[in-house]
Amino acid sequence: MRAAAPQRSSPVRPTSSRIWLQGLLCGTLIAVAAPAALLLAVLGLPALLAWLFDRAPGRPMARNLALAAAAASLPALAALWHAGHNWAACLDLLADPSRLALAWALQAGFWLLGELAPLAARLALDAAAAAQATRLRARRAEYEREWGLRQAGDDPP
Amino acid sequence: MPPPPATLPATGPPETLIGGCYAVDFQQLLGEAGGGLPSFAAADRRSGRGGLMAVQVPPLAPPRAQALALLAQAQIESVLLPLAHGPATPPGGAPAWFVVSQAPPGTPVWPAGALTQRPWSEEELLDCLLRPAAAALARLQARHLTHRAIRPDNVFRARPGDPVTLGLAWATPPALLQPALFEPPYSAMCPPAGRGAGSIADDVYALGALLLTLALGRLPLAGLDDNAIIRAKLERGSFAALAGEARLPPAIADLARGMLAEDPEHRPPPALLADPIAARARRVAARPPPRAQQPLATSAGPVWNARMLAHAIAGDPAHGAHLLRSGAADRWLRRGLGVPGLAVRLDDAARQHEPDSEDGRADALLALHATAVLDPLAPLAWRGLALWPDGIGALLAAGPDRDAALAELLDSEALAVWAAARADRLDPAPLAAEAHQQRALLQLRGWAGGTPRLRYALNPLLPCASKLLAGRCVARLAALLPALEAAGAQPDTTRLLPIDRDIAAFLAARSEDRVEAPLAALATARSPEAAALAQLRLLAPLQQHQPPLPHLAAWLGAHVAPSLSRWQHRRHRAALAASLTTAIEAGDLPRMLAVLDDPTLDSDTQGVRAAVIAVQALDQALAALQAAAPLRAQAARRIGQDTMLGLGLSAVAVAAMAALLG
Repeated sequence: MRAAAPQRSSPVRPTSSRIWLQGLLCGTLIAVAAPAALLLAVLGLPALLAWLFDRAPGRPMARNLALAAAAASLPALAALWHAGHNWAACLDLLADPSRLALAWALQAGFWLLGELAPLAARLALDAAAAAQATRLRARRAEYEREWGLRQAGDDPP
Repeated sequence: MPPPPATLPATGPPETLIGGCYAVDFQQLLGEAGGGLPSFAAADRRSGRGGLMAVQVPPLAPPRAQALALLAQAQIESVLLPLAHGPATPPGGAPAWFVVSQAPPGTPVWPAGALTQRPWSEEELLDCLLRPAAAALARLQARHLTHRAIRPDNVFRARPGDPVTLGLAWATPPALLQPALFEPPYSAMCPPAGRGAGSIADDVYALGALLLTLALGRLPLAGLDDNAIIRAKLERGSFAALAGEARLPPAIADLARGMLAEDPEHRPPPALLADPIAARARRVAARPPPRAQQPLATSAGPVWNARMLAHAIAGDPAHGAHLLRSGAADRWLRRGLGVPGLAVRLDDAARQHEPDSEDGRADALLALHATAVLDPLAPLAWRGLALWPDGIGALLAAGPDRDAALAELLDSEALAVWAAARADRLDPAPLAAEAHQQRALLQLRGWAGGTPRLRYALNPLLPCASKLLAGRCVARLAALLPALEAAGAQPDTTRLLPIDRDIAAFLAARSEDRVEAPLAALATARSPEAAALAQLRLLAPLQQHQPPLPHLAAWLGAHVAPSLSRWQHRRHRAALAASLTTAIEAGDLPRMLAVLDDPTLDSDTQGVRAAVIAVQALDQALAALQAAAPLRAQAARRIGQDTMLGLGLSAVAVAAMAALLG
């Protein structure tokens, strides 16, 4: 899991009103749809953990994992809803290891992609910059060759 | 008849052409025909005419350029006239200048080394010597020329009873070889090179001395050195000193007395001498100089009259100034000689030239002024050196020993003082103008001025003295490049640039174009290649109508090649280098200069400035790329997050669709 970005001065902390709002929503969900809440909590456990540990501004990794958890939980919620939305159906669904594995694997995949995507983008941008620098150095060398400008210690940046 | 030629061993080059047609046979040395100068048999290759001679000019004594030019096509009887002149190389010797003329008709009128011979009769003297010589001098006078070489070993005749022929007088500065005996005392007291062209009256004096010598049958004043002869003439008068108590035919004595008058204006003109009876009848009353009862002791010995005092002061200006300032000369002039007027004028002169420094210039000016006051006939005297102003050129040519004194003379007001003191005998304006011109040349800064420039300017036929030329005789500008081409073939020579101080002065004096600016650039060049380019700029115009000069071109090329670095554009520079190499191989100096004066230099300079600006912009762009690395990292993070956000939302949408449809 990605740690909080060190270059940031301080992690963005949710305001107390947002915390209260989130607590209220969670409480309402637990009170109204406790089986669905349990199902979501179990299937989205990696996302919940990421939400706890991701200190980066906007919690991008937790957001990614939350979306992955949502995508993996929606079929299970639909199945729970069709099964009457009760604790038995919830436990049946949770007892299916393939469902749990798929949900967690999907979140693991999103975590991995979330880690790799900035690296890939960084590589691509650096490659473009290096190509541009090469072109500039070539033009500089051409000037040096034509006009004899290069002198000792006159290395280009 | 000419003397039989002495045959020398056959060595060296067989023949040299002077003036394009006169061949010198260096194997045939003509004994006394040159009047004291080495002379060789010569022949005209165009007409086949023989009986000519080539007289060798001594080093450091240039021939008389003006006379050679004026007499080139002249026809004057009884004098040897120049036919051509130019350089030639004797076998085994250094190149020298030669003057070609008709060979003399016979032997000199006075055998070399003889102290006595049979006295000539009055008829012989008048018919064979005086009339033909006077006629020749009159013709020369009509051309504003003087002979200045009438002496026993330079006057020839075929056989007794034949008219004489005056020998060659044009191969040296005027009167250079004249013994003091045959010169007026005011000319003899000068160094031989400083006697100047003088006037035709000086030739009349020399002819009078020769007349007297041949009439006596012995050399007058034999055994005396030059200074003693001069003192004797000044003390007793020339005629009295030379004739002594000898008995001469009255007509000859009258003629000689007139011809040997101390004042040139009292001597009969040559046209009058052609009629000896009329000349004898012309008597000029010239009082002998007043003689003191007691002599005045000077560093030159006791003096008895004002002329001798002037001579003594001229010879030792420091002691002379002491005599004048201490009042000794004043007392002697007033009480001993009885000429208070002179004493007053000398007193005025002493007050005008009060000593003001330790360099003795005031003493020198006082001595010069006093000499002119005491003896208006005397030459200019400066720091012990007596000279006539028209002898300055030949004196400079004679060597560097007197350069400093002559430079000081021209740099001071000495000429003006001297001319003003004898204004009744000389118009000071032309002399002042000439001195001003010479002073301007002296004061020119750089290699275009100074005594070297003046030396060549006043001696149009003086060969260039540069050591780079290794003894080659270069008296004219056209000969300079061939000589440098020959010098360029010597590897040791080419380490230095081809123009040194002497060649620069020679160029400045001989060139018809203004070369002061390039010479100034040469003197102030900050780098060797700049100096080499300045030299190329001086030499290239001289190659018009000349053959290729590959050695000189290579010589200069090695020194000017670095100046191609002025061009920054490498391809253009390489092209110029190739063109320069081609021009060097062709020995073409103007082409070399054209390559190095390529008009693209300005655009090249502008181009390099633009290139520098462009490189600076590129460096800034590269630095900006390097500095943008953190921004790229931030952007990469943002892109990654946005991508994952999009992917997550897509997955949610797909899952929702599947849940709704399923």
